[in-house]
Amino acid sequence: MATHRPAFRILVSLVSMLLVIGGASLTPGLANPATTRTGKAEMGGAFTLVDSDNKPFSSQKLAGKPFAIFFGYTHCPDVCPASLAELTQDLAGMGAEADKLHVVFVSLDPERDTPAIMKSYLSAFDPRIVGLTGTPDAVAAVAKSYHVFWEKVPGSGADYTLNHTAATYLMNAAGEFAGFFDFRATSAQQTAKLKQLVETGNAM
Amino acid sequence: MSSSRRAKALNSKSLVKIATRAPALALLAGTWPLQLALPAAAEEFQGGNIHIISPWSRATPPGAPVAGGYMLIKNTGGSADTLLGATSPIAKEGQVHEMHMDAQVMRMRELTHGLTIPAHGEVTLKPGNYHLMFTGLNTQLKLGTKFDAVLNFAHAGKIKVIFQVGSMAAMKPDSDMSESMKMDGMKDMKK
Repeated sequence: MATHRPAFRILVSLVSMLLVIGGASLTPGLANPATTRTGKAEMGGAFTLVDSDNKPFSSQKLAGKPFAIFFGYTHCPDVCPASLAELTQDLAGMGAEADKLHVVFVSLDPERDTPAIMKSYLSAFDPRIVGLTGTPDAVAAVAKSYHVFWEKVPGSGADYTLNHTAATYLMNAAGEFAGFFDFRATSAQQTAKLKQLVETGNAM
Repeated sequence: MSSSRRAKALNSKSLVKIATRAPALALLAGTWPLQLALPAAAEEFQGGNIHIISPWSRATPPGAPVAGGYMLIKNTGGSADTLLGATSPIAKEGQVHEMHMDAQVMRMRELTHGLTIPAHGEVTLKPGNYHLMFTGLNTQLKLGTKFDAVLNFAHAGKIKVIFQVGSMAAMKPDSDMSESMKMDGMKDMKK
């Protein structure tokens, strides 16, 4: 009962494939700047959040290089530390190519994830991973622009956990959606996608 | 409640397994001392009809307030039992949680009525699935260390166990990333 039943696996696979197909249609035309309204669903866009040194961080700092962006929170027992640990391994596996992209971790829990907590938490991972938090409104706007789902799940007392999108989105140098993976992908698969993103701007 | 603990003897097969895994583990260990990255023998703890095999956790980032707890639970008895929670000096509380992926969304909830271990059955607590969630963590869990905990079952009562801490991205108790296990979930998720 603890293992996934075959039917569930097939369902997950189907949904994943649909997401990949759906992801392709999300990509705006290459000639269109990310801010142009194309009539298609768009991913990302300009934002200003706060980095782990408590300084404003504008998305302009990401311009000109592709980036990987992951949304999570530090009270996350499983997916978030595992995903960040894997991104750390992926960057190590990319060698010099790792400097040709940015990696961003955005907190979906800005009430608890202060810049100082983000800094301490991220010290366990590759120092190139940029940790961002901000006001709840600012974070919510960025998460929505990336079509990230999240919701609070009440726990005992004032405690809560979050259900949230666990995918790492890959964006090209123009800030356009170029693919995704999640923690279920092997390190080799993740590294291959990141290299593809750096080399071609497309990691679908 | 009585609880006993015995470490399974390493047979030659498991030694071979360890030897072949060592390079990957060294890679995973990163900046951590290599001698800490070696997998431990499977440990079994018992209380009544409940057997707890290889309880393990993952290293936590500095300041992380939570940690997961994973293990195989076997019930050799003729009636079902329920894992209600855990206590440990490392945390304020140990709750039973269920996690699953709903397409790309990670969903987690507390099993307030506990987790049923069927008669003559077994349940695996593992990343991405059922797990113990230690909240109010008062220490940073480091790779290669151990911590004590007491699991609380409705019938078997309290069972003392020792958790081994694996790497931050470990998928199994011996810190092996288990690429094949991950491939299983990803095989249709092609680029």
